[in-house]
Amino acid sequence: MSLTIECQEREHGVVIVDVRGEITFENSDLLRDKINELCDQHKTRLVIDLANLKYMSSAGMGVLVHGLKKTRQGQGDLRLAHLSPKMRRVFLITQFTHHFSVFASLEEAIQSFAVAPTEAKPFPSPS
Amino acid sequence: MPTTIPGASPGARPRCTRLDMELTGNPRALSLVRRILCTCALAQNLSPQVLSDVQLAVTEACTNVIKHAFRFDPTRRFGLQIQVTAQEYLIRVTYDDPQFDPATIPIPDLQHSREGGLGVFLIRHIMDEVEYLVDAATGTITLRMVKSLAAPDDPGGQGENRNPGR
Repeated sequence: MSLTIECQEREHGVVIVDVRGEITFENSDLLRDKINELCDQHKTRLVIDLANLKYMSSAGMGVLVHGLKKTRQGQGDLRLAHLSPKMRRVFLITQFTHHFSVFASLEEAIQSFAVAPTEAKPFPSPS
Repeated sequence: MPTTIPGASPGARPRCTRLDMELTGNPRALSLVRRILCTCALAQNLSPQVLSDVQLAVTEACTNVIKHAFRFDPTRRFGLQIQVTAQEYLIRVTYDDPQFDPATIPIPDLQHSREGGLGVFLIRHIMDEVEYLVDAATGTITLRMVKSLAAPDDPGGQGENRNPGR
């Protein structure tokens, strides 16, 4: 199964990044490149829509961390919508839930940027 | 109430399923392996949680072999063995890597999450037993991973992480 990525600009300068299929270390650079491309265009308010993501390995999680840092460097944030129960479990194990803002719907994620445009959850820098 | 994979027929789990696969340094086969694991889980009436954990553990383990030991060399080969009984889901990943020392596997600092280094950490948390067996004479490494399986009618049993404190 491959990975497809579609982007859609919404209100508050938010870009929805719809990821479909599987994110593995084979294809995770596709998402990394897309995030970099958006940030280079100063589009740093990103919502990753995971509703149609069937599988994500640690490589995919690494790209999300990259995206979190990259968007926050640009005074934005990377937030997640539609995290499945099995992915939520992995996020809990890795403590990613401490760093990422996760929303049940796209609308909630989009509206969150109106309330808190920059990072909603702290991501400590290495000391 | 235990959940089952859609399409799985209720009833006792088959006594034992064993699969032996030979994979190469080409990562493209890993998607196929995940589908094989899914088919195996259906046949064994395993829970979605067990399937999800096993798919992730196998993918991370094989990825580490392909990426770090084989450096994507498609001519190199390694073994993946799966054995499912009523009691456990056993996975063995066997490969040659004379340089490998399990003691050097870094522990990720989750407070300062990095982009890499989560694979083995995840495996250790989602599987019930994880051990590296090193044959010093040949340089053969065997990563042995076990997921304990409760009886199908054991409420809340299958798929629970029985050692969440690790």
